[in-house]
Amino acid sequence: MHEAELNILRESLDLLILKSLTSGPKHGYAVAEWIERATNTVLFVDEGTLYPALHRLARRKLVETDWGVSENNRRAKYYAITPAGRARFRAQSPAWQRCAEGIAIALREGSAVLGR
Amino acid sequence: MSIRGIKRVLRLRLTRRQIEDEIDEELAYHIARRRDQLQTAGLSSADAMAAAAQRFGNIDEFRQQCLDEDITHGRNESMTQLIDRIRSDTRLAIRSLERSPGFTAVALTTLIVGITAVTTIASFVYSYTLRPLPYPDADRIVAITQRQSATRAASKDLPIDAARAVVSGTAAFDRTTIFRMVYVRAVIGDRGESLPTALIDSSFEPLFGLRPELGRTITPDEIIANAPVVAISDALWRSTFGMDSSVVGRRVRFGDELLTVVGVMPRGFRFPNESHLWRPLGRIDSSDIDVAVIGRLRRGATREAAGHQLAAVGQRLAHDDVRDFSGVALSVGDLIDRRIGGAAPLAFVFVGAAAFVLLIACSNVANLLLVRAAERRAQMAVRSALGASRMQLRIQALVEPALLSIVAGALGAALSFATIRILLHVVPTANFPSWLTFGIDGRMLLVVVIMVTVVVLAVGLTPSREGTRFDLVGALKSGGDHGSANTRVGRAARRGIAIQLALSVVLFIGAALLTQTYRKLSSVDVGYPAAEIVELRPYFDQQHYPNDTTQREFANALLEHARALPGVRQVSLLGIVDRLALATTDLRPSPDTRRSASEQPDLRLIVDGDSSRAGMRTSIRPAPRYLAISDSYFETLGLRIVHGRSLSAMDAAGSQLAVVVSQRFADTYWPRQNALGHSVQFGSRGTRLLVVGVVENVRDLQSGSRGVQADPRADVYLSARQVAARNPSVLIRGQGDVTSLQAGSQAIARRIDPNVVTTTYTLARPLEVQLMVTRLFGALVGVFAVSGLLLSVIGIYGVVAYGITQRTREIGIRVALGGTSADILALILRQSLRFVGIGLVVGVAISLAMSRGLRAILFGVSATDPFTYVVSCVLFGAIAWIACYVPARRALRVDPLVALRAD
Repeated sequence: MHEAELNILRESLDLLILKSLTSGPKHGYAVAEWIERATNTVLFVDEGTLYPALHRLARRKLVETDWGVSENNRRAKYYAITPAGRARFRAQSPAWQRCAEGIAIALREGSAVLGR
Repeated sequence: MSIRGIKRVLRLRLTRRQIEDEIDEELAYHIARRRDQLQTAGLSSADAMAAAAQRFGNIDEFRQQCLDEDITHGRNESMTQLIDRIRSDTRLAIRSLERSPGFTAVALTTLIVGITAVTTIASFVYSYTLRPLPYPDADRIVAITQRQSATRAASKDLPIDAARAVVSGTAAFDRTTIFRMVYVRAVIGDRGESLPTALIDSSFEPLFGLRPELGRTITPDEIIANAPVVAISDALWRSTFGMDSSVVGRRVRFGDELLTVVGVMPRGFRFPNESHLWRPLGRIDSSDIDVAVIGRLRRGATREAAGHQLAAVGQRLAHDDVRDFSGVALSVGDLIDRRIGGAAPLAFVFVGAAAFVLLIACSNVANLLLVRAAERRAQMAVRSALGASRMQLRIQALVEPALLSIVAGALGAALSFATIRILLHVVPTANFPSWLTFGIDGRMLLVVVIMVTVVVLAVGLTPSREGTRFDLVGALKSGGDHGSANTRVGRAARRGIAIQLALSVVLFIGAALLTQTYRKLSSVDVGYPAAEIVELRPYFDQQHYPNDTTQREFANALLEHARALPGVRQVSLLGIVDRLALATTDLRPSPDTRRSASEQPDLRLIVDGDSSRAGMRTSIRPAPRYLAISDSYFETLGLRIVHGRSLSAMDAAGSQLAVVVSQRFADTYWPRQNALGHSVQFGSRGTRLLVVGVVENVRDLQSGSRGVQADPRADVYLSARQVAARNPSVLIRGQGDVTSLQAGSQAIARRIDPNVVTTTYTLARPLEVQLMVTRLFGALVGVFAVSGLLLSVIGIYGVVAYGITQRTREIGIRVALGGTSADILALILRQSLRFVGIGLVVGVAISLAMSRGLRAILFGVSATDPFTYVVSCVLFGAIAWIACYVPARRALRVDPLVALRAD
């Protein structure tokens, strides 16, 4: 139970990060902005949570890093998706999509039953 | 591409510092961007910064997690990485301790109290019992002692022939030496002093590996020639000769003799017997001299092996009929015998008491940490969710207690050494034996280190186990503060309370028993006015006073002169009966009555000539004394004759041997009978001693750890006219000041013979020593008990109060559903009081189990005294109940609306 919980939390964040990077290398702040926009919500209670996840992906070689100059002319650390990262994203996103749709349906119908 | 980029491409490792810098820069960039964004949205610069930081969350936490990912590469940690982790965990722990100064202060103080107590007490006990004597190879140097199997009297002096046989016949020793003690009377400054002097042979100094502080040692030639030379102690050199190095080579008058000082012994060396002077032993021609023997065990030789060889030597000696050697066993003994045996029970009580305080302190801090860990469950859950392994969490949980313990250990050790310093200034140390030194010792530091480790494990493991085993979902959902998941933590904390209470009860019972001992001791009636009677005890050297007759002459002279002192009402003589002389029919041992070598002297107490009842003596405790007294002894002590008559001039030398026995003796051997006319004897062939009187009982006061005997003595008194009084001393009872009586009697002794060293004391002195020791010990254990109690009360209060905050919501619901205040109080109290009960029961059980060890230092109160136990339990139960009740009352004030909304 615990391990499964951990995995869901972790995997969902990883997947979102990988998705954000498919459109090109980004620094951490940009990833956070992208996720916020893309999911239409403040996903993280704490934005900082993103960074340990980025570093974890880097360690697993799903992303690579380099220091570059940001749009406001300051030094920033950029993350880019690797081929391994892409492969991982492709392999996992359909399963997540199905899973998320399933949950959405279940929740909708559950609400209908309750008359909301 | 930056240099770091190149490095990365080349797979060069970044240093830890660089990695940390990169993380800091990356996180700072994020926060700066967010601030800029918020500022653009219209916030002030300061507000924007605060909001950005708040949105980011706990930066220390995330920084640490990034570092973990970059450096440790997850769960497969190597040793260096583990150390890195611990280092960063330490930094984290320091920050978190700084954030809660209250907790840190309480935990540190508690631990310091415990560690200081144990270190101080342990270092005193260690110094007194186990610290090696200040000689090279001190653990290999042993004394050879003889023990009379019949009288069980042990002595370190052996007849010279026996000593020579030991020296030549034991392969287990690589060196042996013989020496004798004499007292040299010398005028030092303007007063006469008697200086303990060792007469040594040529192997003495090599055996100890002595290097003189100044000058040289005594040469073998000087020893054989009995040259007029002397080595002096460092203490004497400092006190009397003002550290004048020209004293070496000078001729100095000591008593009757002019001696050339050849050297000053190493600092602190005072063996044997606190000697100040060492002189040549000379050649010993007579076989009628006793000497002491010590040996240094060969490397690898055990004391057991030496013991076996000594036993063989003893048998050979007995077979060859060396003087007085039948029934004697030789054995290996400690160089300084007072060391271990006597102090053992006290050492046990003390170290035990101090250790209990430390245990209570540990348990208290463990509880504090437990509560803290519970509050931190949310943080732990996040870390766990982000991939920290259980092992990592556990290590992190141990870092905080480890930090606390190490700091407390360092401060505690420092404080304890300061305490020792202060105590040594406050307590007069002049009378301490020279081998007793206190101070910083590597082994003591080792004890501190071990203690700190134990504390870390004891304090750290419980909460870390409880803290890392949690329900992740529950913790994340609830924010970690409420909910029922904390009952496990609560239970562990209450278990800690039970342990604390148990230990406090043990300490308290011990202190109560010692207090009663003190009360009983100070009101003890020994049967005579001990404080008014002065005992003057002469110490004879064998040269001038070789036998009982010469000693008796001196004692008689002393008796006559003492009677003439102003204010003296009574004087009398007291000595020990030589039972060996009474065991044979002839009072004067002559060659033809000598026992055959294989025979043990029969000294058993035989009553009415019935040897089948012999040995009953051993059932009387304290064992009977056999005293040779002058006629006025009973009057001097004010003892009443119960039956028959006292010893008098009727009992002259040569007439029927008469004895007076104490009431206890008569009651033991002739219960409900008239003792008069009965007889006792020593051994089946011993002379019959006719009982002519029965005298009141006395109690004996023994100083030191053996304590005061609660039962009256079974004593046998003989007239000093009829038997020799060994080790005679003179009792003086007068009016007025005992101090002037003591000084006056000593002056008389000096006038009769300045060579005889005397000591005086009142008969109450053993009791005074005992009282002082008991009061000191009682006070210390009392301090421990009170600190234990206080710590426990704080602990109980804290745990109960914590339990209530955890259950605010439950209480709110119960109140809302109509629970009465009594119901709610009962609910809170039931849980806590069960553990209080368990603590009390366990405490009583431990006390009972330990009562054997206490018995040796108690007087007039049983170590299992029911009254003490019941009172202690009631008192503790009441205090524990209050400590539960006060915080529990607060639960009643919970407003159900507030409580329900609290989540």
